[in-house]
Amino acid sequence: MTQTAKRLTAALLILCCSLLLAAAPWTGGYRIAFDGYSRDAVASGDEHLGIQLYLAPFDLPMANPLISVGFLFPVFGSDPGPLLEGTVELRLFSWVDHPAAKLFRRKTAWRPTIQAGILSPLSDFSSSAITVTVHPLSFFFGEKTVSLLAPRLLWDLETGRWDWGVRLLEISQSLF
Amino acid sequence: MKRAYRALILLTVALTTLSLLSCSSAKAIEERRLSSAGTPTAWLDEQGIPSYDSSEPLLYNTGVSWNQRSLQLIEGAQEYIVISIFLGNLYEVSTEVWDALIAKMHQGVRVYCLIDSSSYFQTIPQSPVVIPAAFNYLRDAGVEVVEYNPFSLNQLAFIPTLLDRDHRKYWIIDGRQIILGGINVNYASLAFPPETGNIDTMVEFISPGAVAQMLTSFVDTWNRYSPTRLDVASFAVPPLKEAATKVWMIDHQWPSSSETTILFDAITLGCREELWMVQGYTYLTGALKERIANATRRGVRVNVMLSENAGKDNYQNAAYYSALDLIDAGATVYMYDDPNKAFLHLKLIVCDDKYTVFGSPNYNFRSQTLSRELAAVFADEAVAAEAKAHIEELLPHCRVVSREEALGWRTIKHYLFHLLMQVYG
Repeated sequence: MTQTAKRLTAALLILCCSLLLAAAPWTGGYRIAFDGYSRDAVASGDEHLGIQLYLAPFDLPMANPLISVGFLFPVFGSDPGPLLEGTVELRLFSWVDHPAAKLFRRKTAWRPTIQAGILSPLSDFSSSAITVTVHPLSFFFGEKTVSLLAPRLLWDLETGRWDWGVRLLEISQSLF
Repeated sequence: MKRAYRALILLTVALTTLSLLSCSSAKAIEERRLSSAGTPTAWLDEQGIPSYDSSEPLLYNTGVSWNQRSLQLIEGAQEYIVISIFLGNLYEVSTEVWDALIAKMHQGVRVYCLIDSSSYFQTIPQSPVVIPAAFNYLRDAGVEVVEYNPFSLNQLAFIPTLLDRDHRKYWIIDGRQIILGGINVNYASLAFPPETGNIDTMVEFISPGAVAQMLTSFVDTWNRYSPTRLDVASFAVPPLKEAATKVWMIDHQWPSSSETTILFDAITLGCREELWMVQGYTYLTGALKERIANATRRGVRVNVMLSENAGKDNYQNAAYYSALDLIDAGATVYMYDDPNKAFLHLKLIVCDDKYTVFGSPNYNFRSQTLSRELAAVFADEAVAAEAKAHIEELLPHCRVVSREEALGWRTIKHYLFHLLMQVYG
């Protein structure tokens, strides 16, 4: 296979994937979150309020992927200041008649999610951390998803150390 | 750095161009519309508003008459009932409707209710007593119900989402009849006062095309606010045996299908002789005021019927403020005062004794932008005659508002209410 043919194939693949993405029922919106972290973590100085934008390019019943990007702001302005967060997540499945359904006024679907991302202080990108979060208590209402008490692990890229945190609350509100 | 400056300049130019284009001056649209000199429906066609074959429509002109008809329709349903309304609450008269739906559901008929979350804020007219919304009652009974854009605290992070409300009122029975208009399933619409309820109209017609369009719209909306999905293919739509007329369907959702403004442009700029605009209250936009003035300058007799007895001071005061604008635009303003103190909640337009518009859009900024609205346009002299006959029934209870009286409503209080109601009303 010549170099040109390879390039053409690659371009065609990218084009096809782009078309598939464009044809998919995109949903997206904003997300607010509230986090707390262990003493030695990159964001240890404070509780953090997160504001992000998210996009779900597909509408899959299982393993639905979603990307988000935004900022975490320290509630009391502590060091290292605001953090940039980017995540990729997988909403594993949706279960409507779940055991906790009676707890909610509205109809919900239980939608556990795993999330991986990067967290970087805006003041110092070198002390970034990789995050892995599990959302066991994530409930989908149709136009929004509410997740409670999601534990997260942080791998500090600078020190090579594991830390932990908890995303106390995360609300993802769809805008389109 | 140089590159960054260039990018910034380009961005500024692009944004300026975009905002200039999006302003798309009311005057320019007006001139373009007038130069084409077509009929209102030709303008609707030109703007891509879909039209369908339809039966002759049936009109129900009070809350009470529609309530009786809605109970008949529920009783006769065999397959499914789809209801989308702005306000659904739990009062004696509305509970009768919900109970009929619940009974039908137990007989195996599929029932789907889409109700705006504003239903939580309904009070008894002229009183602060809150009437409960119907959501929990329906949910507890097992009816499939979805709240349109539920109010929640997290929306404070992006306040404009709070203003997105579904103001449409339509019913679809077995894919056969579609009924739309201004009547909610709530106390004020159906039973205040008990003799008539609101003076308002629901229009019933058989039109497979219109039904299919609104089923698609319903399912799309439903799927946005529910964790479970509906499939439009699961709703059968039987064919129409014989078409008697045509209907143009305006299904407004801003900004993707901003159709209310197209409707107002089509009617006000396409009218040649006489225009009747009936609505309880109006908070005119500048563009609509200009359209009305344009019509009167062209020699069109423009009549606007407003109403006393709005039941809420903020609505009434804001509506009074606009009366002078209408008079100065050359319109004759009638103020309807119902003998039973019913509110005229009707949104009706009749143009040149031929074009008739029924539906939910108010003559205000909200209906042209933020709210979802639905209207049906008929280009049929018989339909217009029936609507005009209804107007004739209302006229004996109207007085013509003089300029002096309207001038008396140009106070700061009225102006502040007028401003508030641009987004709230």
